Amino acid sequence: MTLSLSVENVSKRYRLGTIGSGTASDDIKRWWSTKIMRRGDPLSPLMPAIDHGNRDGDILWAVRDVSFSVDEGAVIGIIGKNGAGKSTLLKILSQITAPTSGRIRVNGRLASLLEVGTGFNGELTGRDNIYLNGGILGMTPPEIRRRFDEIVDFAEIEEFIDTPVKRYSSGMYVRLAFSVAAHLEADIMIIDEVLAVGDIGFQKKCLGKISDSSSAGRTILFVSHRMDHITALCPRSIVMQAGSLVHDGPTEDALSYYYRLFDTVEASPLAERLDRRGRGRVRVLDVWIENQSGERVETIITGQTLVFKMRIRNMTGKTVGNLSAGIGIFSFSNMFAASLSTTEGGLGAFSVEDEMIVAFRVERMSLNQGQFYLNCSVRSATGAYEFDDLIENAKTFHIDYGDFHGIGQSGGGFVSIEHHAETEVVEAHTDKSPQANAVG
Amino acid sequence: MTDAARIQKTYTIEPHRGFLDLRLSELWRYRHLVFMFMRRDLVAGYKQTILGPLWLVIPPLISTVVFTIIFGEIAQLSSDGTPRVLFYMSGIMMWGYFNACVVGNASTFTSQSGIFSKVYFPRLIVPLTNVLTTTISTTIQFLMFAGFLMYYMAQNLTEGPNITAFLLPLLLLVSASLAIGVGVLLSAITAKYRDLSFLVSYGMQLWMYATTVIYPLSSVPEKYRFLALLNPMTSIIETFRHAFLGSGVVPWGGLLYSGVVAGASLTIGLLIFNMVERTAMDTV
Repeated sequence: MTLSLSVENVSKRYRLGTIGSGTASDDIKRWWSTKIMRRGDPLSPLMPAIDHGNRDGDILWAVRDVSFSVDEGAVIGIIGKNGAGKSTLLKILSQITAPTSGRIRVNGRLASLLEVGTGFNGELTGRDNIYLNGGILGMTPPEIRRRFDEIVDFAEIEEFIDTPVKRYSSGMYVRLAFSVAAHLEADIMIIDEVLAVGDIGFQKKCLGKISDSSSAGRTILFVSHRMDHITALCPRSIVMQAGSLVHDGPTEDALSYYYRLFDTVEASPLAERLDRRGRGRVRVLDVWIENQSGERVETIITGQTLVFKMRIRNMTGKTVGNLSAGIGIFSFSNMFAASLSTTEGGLGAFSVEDEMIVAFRVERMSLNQGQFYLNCSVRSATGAYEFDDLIENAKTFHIDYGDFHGIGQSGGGFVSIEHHAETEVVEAHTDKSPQANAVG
Repeated sequence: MTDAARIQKTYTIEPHRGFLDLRLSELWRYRHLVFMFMRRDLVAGYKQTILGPLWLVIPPLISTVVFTIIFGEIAQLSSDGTPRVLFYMSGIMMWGYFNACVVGNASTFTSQSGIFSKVYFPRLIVPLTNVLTTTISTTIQFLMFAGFLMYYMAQNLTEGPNITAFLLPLLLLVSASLAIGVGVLLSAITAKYRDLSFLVSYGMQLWMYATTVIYPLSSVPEKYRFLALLNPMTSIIETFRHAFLGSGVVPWGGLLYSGVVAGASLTIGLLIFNMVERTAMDTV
C-alpha cells in the first residue's frame, strides 16, 4: 500500500511575546530595554499566559516532534483538548504556515477545509461563488464546471443559484459552502470541525458524503470535538497533548486514552495548578461535589440533590468585593452542558475577606448519563467581568442514569426535563376527502 | 474523478525553501484564480453603487479640475506649453496607476488574512490580481484621457500623439514592476508591523511631490535635474507626456535607468516576499 502522507519529526515553535507586539515602536522599545540597557522586557505580560504544558520559558511548542504516516485511502481522526496543537498541525499540513523543523511528504493533491466558504463574497451570486471558492480551494474551472450540477444539487439551492449569497439564509449559505468543499477533487482531504455547522439533517448528509469519498480511495484527516463523528468515520485516530503526539492506534483505544488525559491533569491538586488565567486577586483552592448527607462524591445519579462547592481564598490581604463565582459543566465531547453561578443562583455580588466556601445547591440534577468535566471561575460581578481565576477541567465526574421522574426508570436524551403529560378529549376529525367518505 | 485530470504529484513541506525557489510553475497552475479574483473585485466592487464603474473616472477627473485651478490658474505653474487639463490628467493617471498598485500590494497580508489563514494558494496571486485589476481601471481612465485629447486636438490646442506613444505598454510594465517590487516589500514589513501601513499612504504622497506630476521636468533647475531623474517614476511620466502631448523629450537614459531600478526592486521584492509568506500568518 502506498503512503499518502508522511509526517517526520515536525515541530512548530512560537516565541511568546516577541511576535506579539505588532508595532515597530514596541519592538524597538523591547530591543532597547532588553538588549542595550540589559533590563527586563517592559512589555512582558504580568500574568503568564495559559500553560497547556508545552511552554519552555518564552518558547511555546505548538507542535513538538510529531511523526506519523497515513496510507492511501485511510481515514484518520485527530483528537486532543483545546490547545493540544491539532489546529497548528493542520495549518502546517495545509501550508498555511511553515514548520520550524521536520519534513512532510505529500503524495497527491491535498485540499484542506479549515473552514467552509473561505473567500465567499456576499455580492456575488451562488454560481460565481462556487467558481471563486472552488478556485481558492485549488480546483480548476473545467473541474468545477464538470461538477457544477452535483454541487448545486447537493446544496439544494437550484432556484437561488443566480441570487447574491448575501440574500441567502444562513442554512443555505452553509449548505452551498460545504457542497463546494465536498466535491473537491483531491487525493487527500483535511477537515477541521467543519461539520459543526448546519442543521442535523445536513450534517448527516455531509458525514455520508465524507464516508463515500473515503470508500472512493481518498485519504482523509479529520479533526473534531464530536467523538461520535470520529467514531463513525475513523477506524484509526491519533491523540495530541501539549503539542506532542501521545497515542496512535485504533479509534476505540485512542478515545479511552483521550479520556484518561482528563484524569491525569486533574490528579494535581487544584490549588497547585499553573494552567490558570486571571489577575489572581482571588483563587480557587478546591472544587468538589457533595451529596445530601454531605459526603464528597465522584459519581452522581440523575435526579439526586447535590451541592457543588468551591473553596476560594483572597490573596490580597484586604477585602475584595463585587465578585461572582461560577462553574461550567462540559461533556467530554466539549459540549457546554450547564452553568452554575452566584448570579444565576440568586446570590448576587459577594465579597471575600480571607477564605470562604461558595456552594451551589442543585435540587434535582437533570443531566443524564455521561462523563463530564467542569471549569470553575471567580470574576468581577460587573464592569469588564474580568477573571480573577479561571481553571479549565478543574474536576471530572460521572453521571449515571437515575430515576429523575420518580417512575422507577430513567429518561432518555442528554437531559431530563420535568414535565406533565395529559390528554384532552376533542371532536373527531372530519375528513372530507372522497376516499374517507367512501370508507365512512 | 478522472485519472487524466488528476495531478499526481509528490511534494515535500519543509521549514525552509530555497532562497531562489519562487515556485513559478505552481503560480502558473493557479493562474485561473487571478481571473476569478479580478472578476470578484470588478463585479462585487461596484454592485449597489449608483454610479458603478463611473467611480473609476470621477476621482481623477475631479483631481484634474482641482490641480488645474490650484497649481495652474492660481499658482501659475508651468505645464510645459501643453493644455493644463491634459498635462495634469496625464500625470494624475500615470501616478495613480503606480500609487494604486503600491498601496494595494502593501496590504496583501493584512487585507487577505481571512483567506490566507485558512487556505493555501501561492500568495503572489494577490499582488498579481491587484496589478491586473488596476491596469484595467487605468485603461478605462486612459479612454477618458483619449477623449479629452481628441477634443483638444480638434481645437488645435495640442499636436497629439507621436510615434513614441507605442511605448505606453512598456511604461505600464515598468511602473507595474516597480510597484510590485515596492508593494510586496512593504507588505512583508506591514505583515509584522501594522503601524507602518499608515506611513505607506503618507510616503506615497511625498513621493508624488518628488515626481513630475504637478510640474514638468523642464521647470526643475538644470543642476537638480539629475536628482529628479533619480526617481524612476519621473522618466515614465515625462515619456508619457512627450508621447501624447509632445512636450519635452524622451529621457532615454532615464527610461533605461527606470527599467533597471524596476527590475531590481521586483527581484528583491519577490525574494523577500517568498521568504516571508511562509510564516507571515503567524504574525498577522
